[in-house]
Amino acid sequence: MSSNAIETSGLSKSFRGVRAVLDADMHVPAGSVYGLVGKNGAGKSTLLKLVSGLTPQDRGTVCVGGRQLRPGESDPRLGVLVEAPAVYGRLDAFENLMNRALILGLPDPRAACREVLELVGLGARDAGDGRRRVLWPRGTYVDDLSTGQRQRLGVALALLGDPEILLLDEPLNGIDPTGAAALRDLLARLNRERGVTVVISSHVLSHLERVCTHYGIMRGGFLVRELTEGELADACATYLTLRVDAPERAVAALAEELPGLTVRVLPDGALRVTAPGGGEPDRRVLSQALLSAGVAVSELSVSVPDLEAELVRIIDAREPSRAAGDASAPGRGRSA
Amino acid sequence: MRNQLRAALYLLLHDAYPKGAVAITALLPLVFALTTLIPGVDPVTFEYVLSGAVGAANFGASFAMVGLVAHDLASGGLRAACLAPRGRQRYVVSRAVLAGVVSVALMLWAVVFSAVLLVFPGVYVAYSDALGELVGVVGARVLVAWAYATIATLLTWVSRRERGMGGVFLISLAVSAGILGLLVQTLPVMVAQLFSQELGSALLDGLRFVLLYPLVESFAVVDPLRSVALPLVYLVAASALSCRLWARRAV
Amino acid sequence: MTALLAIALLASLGALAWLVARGRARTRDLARLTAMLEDHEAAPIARARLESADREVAALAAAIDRTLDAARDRELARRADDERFREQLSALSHDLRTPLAGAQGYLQLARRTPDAARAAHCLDGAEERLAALRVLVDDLFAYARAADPSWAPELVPCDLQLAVADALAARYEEFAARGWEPEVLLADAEPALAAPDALDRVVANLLDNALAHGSGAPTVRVDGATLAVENPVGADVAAALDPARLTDRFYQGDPSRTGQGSGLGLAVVGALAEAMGASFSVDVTREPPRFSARLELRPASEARAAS
Repeated sequence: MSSNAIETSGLSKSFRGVRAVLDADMHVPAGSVYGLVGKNGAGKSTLLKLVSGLTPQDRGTVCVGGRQLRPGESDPRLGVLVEAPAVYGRLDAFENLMNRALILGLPDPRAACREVLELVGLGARDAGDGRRRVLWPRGTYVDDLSTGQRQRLGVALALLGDPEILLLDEPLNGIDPTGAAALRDLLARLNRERGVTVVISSHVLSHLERVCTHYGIMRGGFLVRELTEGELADACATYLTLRVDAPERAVAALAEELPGLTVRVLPDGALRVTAPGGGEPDRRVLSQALLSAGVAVSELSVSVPDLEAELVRIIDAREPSRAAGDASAPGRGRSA
Repeated sequence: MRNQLRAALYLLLHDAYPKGAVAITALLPLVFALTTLIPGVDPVTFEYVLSGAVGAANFGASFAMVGLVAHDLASGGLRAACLAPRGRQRYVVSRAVLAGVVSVALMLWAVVFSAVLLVFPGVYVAYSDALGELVGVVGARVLVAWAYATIATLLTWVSRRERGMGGVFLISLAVSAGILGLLVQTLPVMVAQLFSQELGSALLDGLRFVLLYPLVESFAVVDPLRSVALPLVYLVAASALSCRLWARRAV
Repeated sequence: MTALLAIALLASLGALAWLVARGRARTRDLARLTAMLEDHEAAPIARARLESADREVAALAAAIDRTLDAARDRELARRADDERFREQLSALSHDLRTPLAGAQGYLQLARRTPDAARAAHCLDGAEERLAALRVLVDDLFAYARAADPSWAPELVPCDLQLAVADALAARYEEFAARGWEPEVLLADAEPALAAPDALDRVVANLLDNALAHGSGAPTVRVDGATLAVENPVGADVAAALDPARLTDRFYQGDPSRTGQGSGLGLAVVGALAEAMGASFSVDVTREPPRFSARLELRPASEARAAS
């Protein structure tokens, strides 16, 4: 049995001739926070719907926790929020959660609903400052809630019943920055303390940074690459910015001593040095080379790896590159 | 007791359509009883009032179920049910069982309310020894209402469009008033009549045997076996079709 | 009539089927709960989900969930504790390494310099660092011993006033160097139950604390079996200290740990007090900025009354 919480093979789905997802091989390791990124319309929501069983696939297999699912079958270990939250408009938030809690067969549905509402910030305490209580009893209909509140309710629905794997499609959309940070912290805490595997999709990369341990990049219905956070950081170019008293001599010295390095002179006279392959140059060696040439370094700074820029680069790349080591042609994996 | 059923009952109690159905079931017999207060109008039998109530309950069952299902389709509420072990199948079956529960409940309410209406001076019991018969009739009508409600929900699921109250009303009426059955019968018979008279009448008889609406043309049990078996057959068939419908649909 | 009978038959069959299904659902639920408990190691997140509506099974499931949640919370608290301890220990290791490195550095300098006066100065520096190291190591050892739950010191009646007087006398020079005259208030004497060496250490640590971190002369009060030490502190120091954490291991008001000391002094006092069955509390007030510590030993009369 693999240690992947979710594993798909050759997953494909078309809607009326339009290809939404094609040959997706997704690998979500257990206990990870997996960020599914891509532009709008790249197929992120469809992929999540395929994995959760809301939409049966045309081709390919879905394995959750080592168990292969039939098309359209849902695994009880999943907590799902895909597209709009699955709520009844003419019921209030608590009643919607009660519906779901009863379907799941939780031993104490009311307590579970209250607890989960507190977790997402819709608890009785949060509806304070004199306003009429938003939630229950006879609270506001979900139709009349704001987008952010409805989104939080969607997250609450996904969290009911202590799922082992969370599938969240753009969960932070429409939520104010403070609330988004709080929700992100909640997800990180659930992952860290309870080992819940979290799959978040987003087209806003800042929602995902600092939380994700793995990334899956979608483009045009393909899952083009999967990489870990470490691999992404390595891939980001790291450079040193130097300020020296004699830039010309410095460039010459570096060219002599360390020919492998890429040196660029910036308009303000500073030097930008990059190691081959985009890594960080060895500062000790660099300093010694400059010192032996009689060049004094007055300022040295390291650039911060910009994960977001790197992700955007991969997302926008011209030719669709396949996952590393995968030389398959489309059309394989016809098992349904 | 399946969890889906418990959740479905919870939704039933919180939804507006079932409440409307309860009101409609009471409204028709009330109107009948009230008209007897108008001077010059003949008094009516209890059986008459009851038949009105039962008819209204028949419509009410479909109305409640179609409304419930329309709500399921309108928002993502359906997903809550499908994202569960064997969720799709259980969703369908729970709605079928719920249709039965609603039918029984509304029919009982119809009987009770009609009995209450006996306080009206214009309502009297014509044949007190036929009360046993009435119970049988009501029981049979429960099954028919259940079958109609299941068919109506199947139709609602098939079309999948979001429906407001008007749409719900029309579908419930079309099915429970037998209009659909009539259409299903009339068209083939008309076509057959073009070929030969005997074929036409034979087809007519045959269709009348298997359709539901002839069972409720009179307020009496004509053929006990058919009265029980036919609705059950329709009920099971509609549920099976609904299961197949949802097995591979995108939710 | 037959229709009625048919319906009655159907209804009763339905009821029977329902009862059977309910019984089977209950059995399935119990089996599933058992399986969930057995697989708890492999799948720690899983919680109970039921099919039957039985109140008893639901109560059992809710109780199981609560137990699992409590176990998880305890585990988390333990891990957080361990994490904190590791952080603190790592911070302390810096505190030990610095004087050690300093001492070694000074010795190296002493060896390299030809000038005898300078060499002597370096040796003094080394000796100073080593003394500081000694204090730290002593504190650490004392704390480890005090915090050991199996260490039960032998309690005898001690003279608290004498211990305090001795400690003050031993530190007379240091107080004089700062120009502070400690205010000593000795009320009625009463023998207190304590372990003599532990008591000495406690009093020593309290006074050393006042010397190292106070900004003025301390007030020392002995009342029966209770010792109270109060001293003014700098306003900024008072603002930075969190009274609740003063007795935490390695806590120092300054997060960058640039001050002297290990942060163990008060922790040692707390642990020794607890081991002796005494109560120890500290407080910091901002207006006026004062630090106060209070040690309440058990009176010796208590032991005599008990025995």
